[in-house]
Amino acid sequence: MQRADCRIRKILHIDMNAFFASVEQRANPSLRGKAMAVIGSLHRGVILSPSYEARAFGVKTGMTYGEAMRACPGLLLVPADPSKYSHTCEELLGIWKDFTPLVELFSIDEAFLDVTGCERLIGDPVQIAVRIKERIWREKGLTCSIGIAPNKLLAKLGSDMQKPDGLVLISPEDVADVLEDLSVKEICGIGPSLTQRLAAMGIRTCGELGRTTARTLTAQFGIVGERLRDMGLGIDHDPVVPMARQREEESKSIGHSMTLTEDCADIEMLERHVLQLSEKVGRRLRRGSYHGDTVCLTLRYADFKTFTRQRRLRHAVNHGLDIYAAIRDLLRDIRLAQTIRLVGVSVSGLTRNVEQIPLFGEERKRTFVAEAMDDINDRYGEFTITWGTLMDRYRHERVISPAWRPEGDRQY
Amino acid sequence: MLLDLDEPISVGAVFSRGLVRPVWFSRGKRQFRNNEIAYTWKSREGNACIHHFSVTDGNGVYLLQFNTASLVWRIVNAEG
Repeated sequence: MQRADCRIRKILHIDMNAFFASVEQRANPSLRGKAMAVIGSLHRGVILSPSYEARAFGVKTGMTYGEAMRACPGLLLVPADPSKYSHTCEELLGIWKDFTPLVELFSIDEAFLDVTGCERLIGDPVQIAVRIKERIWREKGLTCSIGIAPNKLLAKLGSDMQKPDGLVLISPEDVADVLEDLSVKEICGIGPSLTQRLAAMGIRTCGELGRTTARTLTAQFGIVGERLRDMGLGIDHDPVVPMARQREEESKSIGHSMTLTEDCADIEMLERHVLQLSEKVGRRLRRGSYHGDTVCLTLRYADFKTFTRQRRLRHAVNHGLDIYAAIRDLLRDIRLAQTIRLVGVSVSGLTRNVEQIPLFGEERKRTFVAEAMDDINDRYGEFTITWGTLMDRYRHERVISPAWRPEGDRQY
Repeated sequence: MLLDLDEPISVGAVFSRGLVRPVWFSRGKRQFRNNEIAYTWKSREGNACIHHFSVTDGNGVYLLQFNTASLVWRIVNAEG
C-alpha cells in the first residue's frame, strides 16, 4: 500500500493572481483597491492584466483600450513595466526553489512544482502550499492560487477553480467526481475551436470525453485523439521539467515583435522598425551561438488580421543586417491593403555552435563590427550603439515575450 | 497626476546585509522622508545593475533608481 502511495505524484500548480496588476498595486499604494489595468502602452495595445476590482466591471485580458474604457469608464491604466515583472518572477522562482528543485516555469506568472517525496522533509503538499502562499504574501505582498493534484493537468485545473487566493486539492479518489460534469473547455489545452468540434460530436463534459473511445476520437482528431481521451479521464504523464533541463532544450526559432505606437503604412518607417527588430533578433542569435537560415516577417493590419511571409536563405545568418536585408525584400513584395498595427521578425532553421570563420575582408570587417557593437551594448545597455537610422526617432519599450524565462536563451 | 522627472538627486540610504534602503531624498531645497518602501526590483543596463524603489512619504509616490556602476541616484517620476 505504501509503495502504491509513493507512485502517486504530488504536483502543485501556482498561478499568481492578476500578476502584472497586483505588482503595480503593490508598487503604487494609490492604486490599491481600485479598478485598474496594465496595458501594453497607453491608448494603444490591449489590456494585459486587469485588477480584480476592474474584473468586477467586466474588464478582461485582451480587451482593447476602447472596450475596457466602455466596460469601466473610471478605469485607471498603467503602462506595462516588464523589468518589474521579470524581476518579481525571478524572486518568486527563488521562493519556489526553496521547497523543491523540480520547478517548471509555465509562463511568467505560473509554475508547476513537483513535491513528491518532500513530505518527511517539509510536510504534506497542502502544508507546502500554505507555506508558499504565506512566503509570497510576506515577501512580495502578492496572492496566488494553488492547485494540488497527482498530475500537471489536474493541478492546473485546481488552481483555476478558486481565484483569487485559492487552494484546491484534487486527490486521486476525487478525480472522477470533479471531471464528470466539468465542461471540456475548462481543461488546459482544449481551446474554443476544439470545444466546438467536440460539441458537434455531442461531447460537452470531461465525463463524456473520458467515456468516448480513443478510436472514435482518433478518427476525428488524428494522433491527439488518445491524448484527448486521457484528458477526459484526468490522465497526464507529463513530467515537471525543471529550469535547468528547459535551458538545455534548443530553441526552434528566435523572434521579436512590436505593436506600433500608431498604425502605419509608410514603408520607410516600417523598414526602420524591421531594422530595429532584426538587430534585436541578431543579438539574441549571437548570444545563444545560433545561426538561422529562414527569416519570417509577421504583419498585423489595423483590423487585427495577421499574416506572415517567410524566406529560406542560402546561408544561415545571425547578423541584424543580413536578417534586415532579407525581411526588407519580403516587405517590399507585399502590397499593403491597410495600415499596419504590429510588425514581427523571426529567424528559424536554427543551428548552434556552427560557425564559418569569415574568409574575405568585407565579411571579416562586418563580423568585427558586430562583435565590437555587441561588446559596447553588453557593457552600456541595448542600443547604446546602433545604426544611424535608429538613433533619432524612438526607443521602443522592452516587452515580455510569452517565451521569456529568467535564465538561458529566452532571458532577453 | 504623474510627473516625469528623471533627474539626479541626493539620497540618504542605509546599506546593510547586502540590501540598500533609501531613508530620505532631497529635491531642490525640499527633503522627503520615505515612510514606506512600497516595492523594489532590479534591472540591468549593460553591466550596471539598476535598483528601483517605489517609495512614499505619505503624500506622494516616488520612483527612485540607484545605478551600481555610476553610484548615482535618480528620481524617475513622482505622483501625488
